[in-house]
Amino acid sequence: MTAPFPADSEWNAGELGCGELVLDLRKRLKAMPGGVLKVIALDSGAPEDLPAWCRLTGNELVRHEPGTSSFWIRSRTDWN
Amino acid sequence: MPGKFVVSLTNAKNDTDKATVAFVVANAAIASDKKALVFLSIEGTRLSQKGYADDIHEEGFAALKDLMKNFVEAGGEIYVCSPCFKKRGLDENNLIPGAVIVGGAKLVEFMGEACPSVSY
Repeated sequence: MTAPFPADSEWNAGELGCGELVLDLRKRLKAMPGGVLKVIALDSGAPEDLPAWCRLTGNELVRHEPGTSSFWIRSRTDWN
Repeated sequence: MPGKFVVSLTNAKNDTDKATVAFVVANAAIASDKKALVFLSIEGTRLSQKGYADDIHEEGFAALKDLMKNFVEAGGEIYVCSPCFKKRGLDENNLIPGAVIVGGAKLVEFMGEACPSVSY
């Protein structure tokens, strides 16, 4: 059995999607620069949206596990 | 990635679905590091009034007043079309936080030479 991928914090976003998901995600990541947040996002747009959002905002998508709708995102360190 | 983004909204209680989705997309823009603006014109200007959006809550979405509040708190701007506002007899002393009554020039200035926009 493999060990779970590490994260500093975890957030179950449930069915939140689109702007509601990324605005909340932004607040959470901004509060933990450099840290890794595991996000569980069940919205069907999230597998496309979260990688795009990470590219737009300079946060690093460390891992995506489609089977569990989980995303590990490292918060950038240069938040304004 | 800096840049601007405009969401143009011409609907309010006449199409609460459009009004809601407009602010959801505006929140996606502001969350994605864009300088984001919602331009309220035509019926959309009614949303600039305190209390107006309080009973708009589309199924599957957050309440509209919360979407609007989150947008403004995250640094989003709301421009309200001056002639549309006047035509409807709305109250300048009853504007929601973040809303500014403007003429077209202000929108044109914001959009500049190249600015993506989406309309609802």
